[in-house]
Amino acid sequence: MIRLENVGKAYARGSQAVWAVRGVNLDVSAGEFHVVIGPSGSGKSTLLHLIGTLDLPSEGTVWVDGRATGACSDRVLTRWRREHIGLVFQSFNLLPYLTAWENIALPRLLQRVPSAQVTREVEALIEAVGLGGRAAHWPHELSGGEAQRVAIARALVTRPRLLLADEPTGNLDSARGLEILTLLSTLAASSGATTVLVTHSPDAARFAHRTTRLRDGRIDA
Amino acid sequence: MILPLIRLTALRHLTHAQVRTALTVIGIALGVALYVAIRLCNTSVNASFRDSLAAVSGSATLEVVGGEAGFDESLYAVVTAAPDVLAAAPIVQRTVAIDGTDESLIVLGIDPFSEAPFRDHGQSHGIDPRIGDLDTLPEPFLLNSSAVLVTEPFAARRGAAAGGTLRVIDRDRSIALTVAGVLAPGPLADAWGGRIALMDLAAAQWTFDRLGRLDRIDVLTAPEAAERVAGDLRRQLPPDMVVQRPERRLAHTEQVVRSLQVNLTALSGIALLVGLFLIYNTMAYSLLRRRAEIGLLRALGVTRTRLFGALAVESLLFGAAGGLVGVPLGWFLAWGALGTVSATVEALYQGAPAQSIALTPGLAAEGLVLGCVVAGLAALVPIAEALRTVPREVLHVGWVERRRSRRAGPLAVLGLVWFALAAAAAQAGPVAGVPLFGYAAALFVVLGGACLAPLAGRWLGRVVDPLALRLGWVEARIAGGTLSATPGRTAVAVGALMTALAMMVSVVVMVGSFRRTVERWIAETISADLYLTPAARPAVGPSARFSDDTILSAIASVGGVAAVDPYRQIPIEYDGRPHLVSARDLAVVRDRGSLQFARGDPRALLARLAAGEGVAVSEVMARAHGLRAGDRITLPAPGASVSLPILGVFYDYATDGGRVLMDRSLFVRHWRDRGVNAVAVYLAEGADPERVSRAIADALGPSHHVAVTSNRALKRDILEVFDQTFAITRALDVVALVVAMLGIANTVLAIVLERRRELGVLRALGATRLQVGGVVLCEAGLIGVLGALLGIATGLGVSVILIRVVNVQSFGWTIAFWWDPLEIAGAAVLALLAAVAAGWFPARRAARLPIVEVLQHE
Repeated sequence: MIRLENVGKAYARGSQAVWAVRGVNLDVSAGEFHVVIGPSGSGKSTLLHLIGTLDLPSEGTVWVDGRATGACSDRVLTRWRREHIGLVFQSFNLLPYLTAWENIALPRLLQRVPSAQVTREVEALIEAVGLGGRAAHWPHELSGGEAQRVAIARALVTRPRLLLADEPTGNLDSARGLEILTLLSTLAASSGATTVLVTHSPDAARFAHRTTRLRDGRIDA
Repeated sequence: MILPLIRLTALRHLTHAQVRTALTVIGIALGVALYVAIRLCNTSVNASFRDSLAAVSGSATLEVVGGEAGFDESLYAVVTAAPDVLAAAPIVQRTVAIDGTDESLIVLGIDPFSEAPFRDHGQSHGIDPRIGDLDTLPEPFLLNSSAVLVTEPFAARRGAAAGGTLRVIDRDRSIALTVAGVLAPGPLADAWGGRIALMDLAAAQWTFDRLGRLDRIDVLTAPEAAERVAGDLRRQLPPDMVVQRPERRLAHTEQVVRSLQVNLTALSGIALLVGLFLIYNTMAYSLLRRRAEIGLLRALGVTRTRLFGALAVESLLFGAAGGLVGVPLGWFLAWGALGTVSATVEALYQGAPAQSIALTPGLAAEGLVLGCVVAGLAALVPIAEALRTVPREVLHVGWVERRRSRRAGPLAVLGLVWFALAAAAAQAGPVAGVPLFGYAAALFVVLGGACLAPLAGRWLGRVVDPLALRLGWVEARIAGGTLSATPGRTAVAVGALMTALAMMVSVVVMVGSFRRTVERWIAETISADLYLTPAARPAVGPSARFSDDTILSAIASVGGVAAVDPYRQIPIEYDGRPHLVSARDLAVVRDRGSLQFARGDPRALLARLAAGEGVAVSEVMARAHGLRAGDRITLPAPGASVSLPILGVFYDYATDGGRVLMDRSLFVRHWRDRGVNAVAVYLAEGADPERVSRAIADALGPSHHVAVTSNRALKRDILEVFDQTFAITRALDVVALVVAMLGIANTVLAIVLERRRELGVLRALGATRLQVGGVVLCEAGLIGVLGALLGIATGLGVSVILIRVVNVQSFGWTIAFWWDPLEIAGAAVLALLAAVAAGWFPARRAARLPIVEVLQHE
């Protein structure tokens, strides 16, 4: 499903290039729940952005579902992201002026899916993530755990083939974090989505089919 | 401590947000520029009047003037013999047209022996400057009865060299003048744009049929003796003669054009008001984003006062920068607008052409200070709000927005209070002839409309939300959600657009109503088939008259002519203000035409007027002096004052001065004046206007040069002058709209900057660049819709005030309220398009946001 071949990503800092990741080789199979663990600044999020087509590598190739992201146009990548990728962020990133229901429905609305179908799908997901009764609430009225459930539901509403989660428990206490990881792995398994989760917490490893450790932008052997 | 604070906070932010700083500065600059441009034009027009009148009056401390017919020259001896009169100069003055053009020339007939103490005539070419000395004058000037001295600019323009012939039209007669010399530059030569010529007094009397008569006597006294001498002269001279200080003519002129100028200045102020919204918006957003910084500075021990000082300096820098750009821009705009303003004043008031723009240090400072004051005022509320917030409350923008949105209700109540104040202000009378409270009422309506913006935004958002969701229009849904949840965010931009559109709508409705009123008036009152005027009229104005009244019988005898209505108009002074007395054959008007009266049956009133029972006064005059039907009016007539009953009040849109109308027989009886300024000709049924026109020209012969205008052409000409008069107000509208567009661009750009993360998330979720740009454009569009709705409502309110209060108090006309829904819809569409156009750049910027950068940065 995902293959990274000698991938590197550099950012310009003044006249110098700073490598966030470099020489990364990684394979993630379809349906796998893959956890990338590393400390802050190890390049986890950069890796996730490269896999999620939000960014392009400075060197090497990122293959997603058989196509090299660097060779695709922004339009193709956007469509791919819209149709096949679900994203969960550490800080939830819910749109503040949409209700929980509307936040979940947003990706489908962006796909111009008929509203009756969207309603069916969103209702089902609200039940699945345990948000019954909170659907009409605004993001600022939700707890951290509830907000992240909304974000997970939003990520899954398009039935993505690839689910990417960036520190999904980073803003939650340990009990809520565990609940979220459990929910994420359960829903990922039931939907059959390939999942890549990056975190600094070793606790997430127990949900993983496979774990990769990242340090200073390189994979720990 | 405040200086480093200014450097680290104010200056840093101004230079950091370059695009927004630039948009704000341009907005303020446009407002200041418009104000400066109008002030410059007004000042220039007034200066032109003042300089021209001063040059013609010279050093005279008093002047003795008669009516249009002038006075007997024997009175010159009475004046010179009066105690304390140091010198007196007799004058004959005639305005003529240059043959074949619309250019006028003021010919001053002077007595060279009396002139020396009065006027600086400059130097005639090749001769000594002392015109009072016989030896210095070109020989032909005294010997040739048609000799004139012309100014250099005029000579250059007309190619008039010494010895050449200058053909002019005096009233309806063609006259050949001989150019005896050219006056060198000087105050007199510069007066009236150089359109002045000097002639020997006797020659002028001969040439212009003024034998034995004078138009004016300039009098020189010791300054302290002027009032006493004036009193003496008034006692000795006939009562219809006016003894006054020369400045009084200027005061009259300035009084006449003041309403027009005050209105233009007020309209230019609207753009500044829109600019005020712009500064408010910029400061509010800037401070909203910098709450954490403000909280930190407060936590570090910076006092509120110092912080206030630093932020106030920041806003003043906006104002100063806007002023620095706006003042020279205004000077530049003034050059462009001067022609229109000057032409309007010339067309309406026969003023002197304004030729130069002088930007004085005082006016430049005024523009600069105005920019700073507007910026300072606009920033007060956002700064106070930011400083009230204690550091622990500095959570995030959303918290502030929610607090703001809770204020939508109370703000709406405040809006209603503004409306109530507007209603109260509209009841108050003018202050020194200026409708100050009327303008205040218009401002209050705009402020009231602006206060309704947050609540209206919330309602609009709530309407758009479900509709967009049902339609599957996700971009509109997000935009609508933003609007309904945070109406305070966009309220200021809405206010700016609303103000600009309100101005546009109110001016469109006011001008449209006025035009329609005038259309109806001319349809009813201009009923003759042909109008004859002296050929000099286009250049000289309505005061041009036929050389004699024998033309009336000649015209009446032409086949196909059914009736003739001779028209006579003379200026008078009534109760210290300039007005007109008009005389017509009102029996003809009764039988074949009509007049609009405020009350009473027009035919019955016209019958009484035609019988010479009394006079009618125009509504402008009635309002100005509190006159009503049944009152008596005492008018200055030759030899004695005349007291006449007022039979009715009639509508008259031909002049914004007052007018007294009477039958020609009554006028001739009291004024002993058989002059004719125009002739309305009614044709017999079936007569061909073209053929009758030619027959009239033949009947009058080559000694009378007349212009014949058909009914349709005259109506068209009147409406053309009308449209030209209001052309500049349309231009002012456009500038206000541009300032509002800057406001919207500024707001939407701020929204994009503030919501980079949200927009980045949208892109991460798969929204295309087009969709993200669409969200931003939808937000701009909703600002446009809201601005348009509020702008139309507010604009209609303001137009009622302009028509019923400002117009009535400024000019005294009754204007029927009328509006064209299509025209208003057009203005609304324009506002919407302006809003969307303003959102284009921010939308492009939003669509190109680097996803990872914004997600990581926040």
